Parts: sequence; structure tokens; C-alpha cells
Amino acid sequence: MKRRSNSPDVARRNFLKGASVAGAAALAAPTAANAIPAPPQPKLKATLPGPLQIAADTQPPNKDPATQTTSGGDFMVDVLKTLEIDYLAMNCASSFRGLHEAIINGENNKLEILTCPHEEIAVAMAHGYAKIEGKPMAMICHGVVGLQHATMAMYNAWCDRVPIYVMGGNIVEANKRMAGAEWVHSAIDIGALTRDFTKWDDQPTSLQHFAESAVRAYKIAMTPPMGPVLLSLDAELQENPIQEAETLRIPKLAKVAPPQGDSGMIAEAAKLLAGAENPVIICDRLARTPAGLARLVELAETLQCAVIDNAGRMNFPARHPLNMSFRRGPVLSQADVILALEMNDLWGVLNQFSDRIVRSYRQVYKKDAKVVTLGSRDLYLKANYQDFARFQEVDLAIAGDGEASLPALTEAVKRLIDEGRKSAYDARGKKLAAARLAMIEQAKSDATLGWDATPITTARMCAEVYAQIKDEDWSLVGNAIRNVWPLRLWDIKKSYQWNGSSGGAGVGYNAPASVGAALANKRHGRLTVAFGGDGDLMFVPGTLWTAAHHRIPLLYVVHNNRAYHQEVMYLTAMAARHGRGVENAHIGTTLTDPNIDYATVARGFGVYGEGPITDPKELAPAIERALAVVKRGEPALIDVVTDPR
Amino acid sequence: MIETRSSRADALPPPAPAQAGIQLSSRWWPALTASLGPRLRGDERIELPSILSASMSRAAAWAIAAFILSGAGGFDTQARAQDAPPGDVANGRSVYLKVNCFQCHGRAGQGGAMNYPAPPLAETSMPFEGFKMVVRESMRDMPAYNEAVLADKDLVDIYAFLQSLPGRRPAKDIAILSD
Repeated sequence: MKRRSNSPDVARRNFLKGASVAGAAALAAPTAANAIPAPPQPKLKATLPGPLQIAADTQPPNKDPATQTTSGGDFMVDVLKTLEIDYLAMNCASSFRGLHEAIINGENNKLEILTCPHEEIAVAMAHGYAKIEGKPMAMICHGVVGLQHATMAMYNAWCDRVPIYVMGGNIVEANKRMAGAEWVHSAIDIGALTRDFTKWDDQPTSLQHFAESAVRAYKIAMTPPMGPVLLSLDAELQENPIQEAETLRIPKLAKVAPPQGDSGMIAEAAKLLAGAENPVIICDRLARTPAGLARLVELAETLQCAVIDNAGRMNFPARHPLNMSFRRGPVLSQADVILALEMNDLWGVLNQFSDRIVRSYRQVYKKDAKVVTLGSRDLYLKANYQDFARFQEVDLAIAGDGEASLPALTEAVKRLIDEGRKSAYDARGKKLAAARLAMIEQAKSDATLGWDATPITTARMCAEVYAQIKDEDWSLVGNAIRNVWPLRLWDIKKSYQWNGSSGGAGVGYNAPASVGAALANKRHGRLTVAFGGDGDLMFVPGTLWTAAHHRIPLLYVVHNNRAYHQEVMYLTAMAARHGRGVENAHIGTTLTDPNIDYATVARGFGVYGEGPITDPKELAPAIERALAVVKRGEPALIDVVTDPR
Repeated sequence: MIETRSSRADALPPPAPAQAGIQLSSRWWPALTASLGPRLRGDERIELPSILSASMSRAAAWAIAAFILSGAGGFDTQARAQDAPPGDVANGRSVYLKVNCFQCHGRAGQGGAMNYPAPPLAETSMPFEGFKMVVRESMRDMPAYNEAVLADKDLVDIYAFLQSLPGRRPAKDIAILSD
């Protein structure tokens, strides 16, 4: 670790030290009262040095220089500029003040700082952003207390396989820490806190080390299976002047090719699919890019088979004739070959859970059905947190990125199709298409139930929003828990019209992730909308200020059921199990008395706010007014008081 | 359109003995698919939970089958049960809210979800016997309401309340649902 005392500026002063001492000895005036009178001094030609100069030249060498011309932070900015990172989300903190200053004052810096009032907001913004933009946002925090705030959001990103570039400030050398806060804000190993849910971390000990680790971290984060990475940045490294600048080198960032499934296994899977009577595709976090969506459509249409989309990404058009996501029970019960693409919890789809006193599962697919998995999940797992879900027995487990492997699989299937099979496939597809049409009509019919009710039904809330955006270039980037209506009613078909969910089901994701996604959409000129629960927003209300401050256009519709509603239901079930007090399930689970006025909260943060809206007839005009605000480039919030689900 | 009246259900073959569950095999399907419409085809099978016992009446069995399938597929029953006992609608509404039925099924009986879909109950056509069985025994993640928390009388009233709720409207009559 380079230290201040070794900095070029200090070293220069050290070089001058000897000369200064000698001069001081020559110029020092005797002060003792009984000193022998000095001989007369010859008259000097130059002006005598003043007291400041005398003091400067006679004091011990300056070990605490006040200025510098370079810093490690400047170099770090140069490195980050090469990584195609556009934004740095942060809540300011002294342990990265060196890098912070270099970013705001450095030359040709393209990193834009996003000011966030909580580290969880910063990470979640990066989370939502990455899924729309296809690349990471950087986030920086205090390596101890800030990282502790950030952890929940990092865990969500880990579970959701999203790349986030996290940095944490730290003061590694004990003798350099100021008493008090800098001690409680420092750690030997900040990465220990998050190592269970990051792909990789490092604490560079030199600027060259930083350059290499910074590029390595980006590459690891972006290689499927993607995930968050962490760099611990020593404050001294950020702040001290650069030494031996001529030896520093920034490694080249390589293009990353995602791993593809083994060709022999792909051929075997194709044979199973092509010969199946009722093949079914199940997917979750498949589409990393717009190509993933197109590739899945091509495979499904080639086979004319059912697709069940768990909607972790924008994988498959919601109204596609082969989309059987809301008919999964009957479809799975008939399947003879199941292809699971980038599934995290395949067991959870293939088995139905019964949450009774004796908890049990029931298999919902035929026992002799062949199950094939294709995904990158098995390529990187960790042991402690159980996000990998229950082990599912399968017939073929192909390790490889789903999106990258699909073209080979589709081509292999096409090679196996003859006229007889094509005819059978077409007949299969027609049956599925008819079922899909019936599902759409059923969804519309279901939506009419309680259409004029107060509180407003979630179906009406979603239908009213869609009616006003459907002819725009819209993007739905957030959704409240179990709000199925966009997927049932909306024509969701473009790669940016759905943005998955949190991954870890950690509350406090939806609002900031939606703002991050809206930021990504801003440069593309898309109209961004999101639904979010009131409980989620109450975790991270400061998100609204960030949206206002950075002029991020987003229509945020609060699905306000005035409760942590999932828990109301769980508590009701527990009380019913004991045969007592089901009417008490609101205690500790609801957000009432007083009711929260989210429109006023929004206005307090500088965001346009409408509501609380309880009359469904008032919804459409409120949406219209709020969308006008969004279209002029600002965020707007509508508080809709809804039925629970 | 689902017809789950006891007269229709009683004409069906008897349910198979329940052990780990009942397999509704192909011989059941002509009648069931006639009831459940185009969502199911004759070659599909579904395994029902063990609460479907051999001692249960066909009406209850079919009601639960419809309930399960409606939850899995998101469709509703249409026909009213004709054999419901009379109940107090106002009290039914009060109890429906008090014991949290509405948390999953909606104040308007429009349906919702917990971890699995909770089917719509407005204008339910599920026979009362089947309705009671589901409430008392439950399935999946639904709370099981015994008499200590929900008296038989209140259950009757809730049923009356659900049948009093407005049912579906033609979607074409709502302009914004046309697309």
C-alpha cells in the first residue's frame, strides 16, 4: 500500500530537508540573554526573509502537504471510463471521497452520479437499469455501513442473476484511520459480508491491481450466469498522489462470449422435442437481450408447442398463441417432453405445494415425461443461501446460456422435421391458439368482476393504465406482487415491455428498480410505467426524490392495499389453523391508522402526486394528468386505493 | 359455462377411492369437460387432493374439482346453485370481511391470489355442500376455517352474500377491455 509519506510531493520535500536544516542553522538568531555578542554582520544584498519564510525554512520538513496534482482516484476514473459504465449510483460517504472528487472534477469523465438517499435504492436502481439496458450501472458506498444498507438489494440482484458493479470505500491501514467513525466504518474484509451473494470481489492494494481487478470484475459480472461483483477501494489508494504513472496500464476489456450447451446434448434434446407429442417449454430468466425473445419465439413456433413463461425476463409475447402461462396445470399434465430454459425453481413449477400443517408437494406432470434443462444456473452456485431451490430430477441437464444456445437447438429441431411432423405440429398449434384466444376472453370477463367497486380492483387499475399507454412506445418496468393483470390483459410483446421481478423477493426493490429502468428508457424515449405495492414504497420512499432530482420520467402507480398483504393472508392461515382470532390478522401487517397519503409524500419529494383515488371513475382522468407530466420528462405518482389483490 | 348442480353431479360415475388423491381418468372427462368448457380436453387428467373422499357426495366432489380447476386456470363458474340454504346477505358480507375471505377473493368476489390463484366467488355456482367442504378443509395455501372461527350459520350467510354479488358483465360492454 502506498502511503502519504511516500507520495511524490512529500518525497520532494524530503529531498529538500537537508538544505533547509543547514540554512536554518546559518540564519538562526541567538536568543540567550548572556550570549556573546556576535561580530557585525555584512550587509546583505537581498531582502531578509520574512517570518513566514523563516518559519517554513526552519521548521521540520512538511509531512502534511496541503495540495497535490494527481490522485489514485483520477486513475480509477480513467479505468472506469473504459468499462462502458454510464452511471454511478451512490449515497455520499467519506471512505470514497477521493474517487468521488475525481469523478466530479476529472477530465472527460462520462460517469454521471445519481444521488440516492439510501444504498438499497442505489443498488436496486442499478438492478432495474441493467435488465433494460443490458449492462451494469456502478454503485459505490461506505464499505461497512453503506454496504450493510446495500446488502438486501445485492441479494435480490444475485437471485435475479443481474450484473451490478458495486464498490465500497474502506480504510485498510489502521494507523491511517481517524478516531471514531473511521474505525467503525472500516473492516479487514468488507467483501465477507456479501460474499455469499456476489460472483467475485477483491480489495486492490495498488492502482495497477485496481485496474486489473476492475476489468476482471466487469467481465465476471457480465459472463452468464451474471451477478453482482464488489471491489473494496482503500481510501489511501483513492486519495494519494499517483506514483510511477508511466508504469500503470489499463487492461483491454474483451468481448464476452456466453457459454453454449454441448452440441451432442443439444442434438439429443432436439430429438426428444421433435418426436414429442406434447412438448412444453418452461422459461424464467432466459432473455438477456432482445435476441432472446426472438429466439424463443422461433423455437416455439418451429415446434408449435406450449410455452409457460415464469416471467423473470421478457421471454415470450404475452398474447402469443402458444403462451400457456395461465394454463400451466392442464398443459403440464399432458406434457411428454419438458424443456426448461434458465429456470431457477423448476421443482416449484413441476410440483404443487400444499401449505398445510403437514407440508407436501404433488407432482403435476406425468411420471414418464422427459425433462431437459438448458441454462447457466449450474455453472455458478453458492451453498449458504438457498436460492437454488429444491433439486429437480431431470433426464438431460445441459449447462450453457439459454439464449446463446437456442439457435443451435432450433436448427437441430428443424433438421428433424418432415412433412408428417409438420402437419402434426400445425394441428397442435391450432389447438393451443384456440385455447389462448379463450384465455384472453376469459381474462377480460374476469376483469369485469367488481369493475365499479371501491376500493378499486387491480384489474380495473391495470386496464385503465393500459388504455392510455397502449398506443405509445411504452415500457412496463415494475409490478406489484401477484398482480397478474398486465400479463393477462396487456399486449406485452417487445423486449422492454416487461422487466421481471426482484429475484430475492426482498421488499424495497420495486420502486427504485423501476426508477433505474426508467432511466435506461429515458435515452430511448420510451414511456415508462410501473405498478408497485405500498409496502414496498414505504421501505424506500426516498426513491421518489432521486427520480425528481434527476428528472427521470416514470408513471408510478401505487397499488395501495394498505397492508403487507401476503402476511395478512399468512397470519389468517395461522390463526385459522389454531381455530382462533382470524379477525386479528391485521395486527402488525397493515398500514392504516393513519392511512398513508402517498400523493402528499410524493409532492414532498418534488414528484407530481395524484390521490388517494378510491372511486374508479376518477382513475382515468388522474392517469391522463399524470401521463402529461411524465411526457414532459418528470416522474409522477398515482396513489390508487385497491382491493388487496 | 359450468354446471355443477347436484342433479348433474349425482349422475356421474362415483369417485374413485381416495388414497393419495383421486385420479380423474379419461372416463370422467366427457362429463367434466362438458361442464368446464374449452379449457380442458378429453385426454387431460388431473389429480385431486385427498380431501376428495369416497364418502363425499358427487356434488361436493365436482364442486371441488371445479374450484381447483378454476384456480389453476383462472375461470369462474356461472350457474347458480339451486340447493343453497337461505342466508342473511348483510351478515354474510360482514363476516366475509371480518374473517378475511376478501383478502384473497376480493370484496366484490372477483378473485385474487395468495401463492396460488384464488378463484372468483361472485355469483358462485358451487353447490353449498362443496363450498362448505372447501372452507372447512381448504386446499393448498388456503386457511381452513373450522367452526371455532366460522360458525355454520355464518358460512351459510357468506354463501348467500356471494350469490348476491353482481356477476360478470359482457367484456364488450366496457370499451377499454375491447383491446
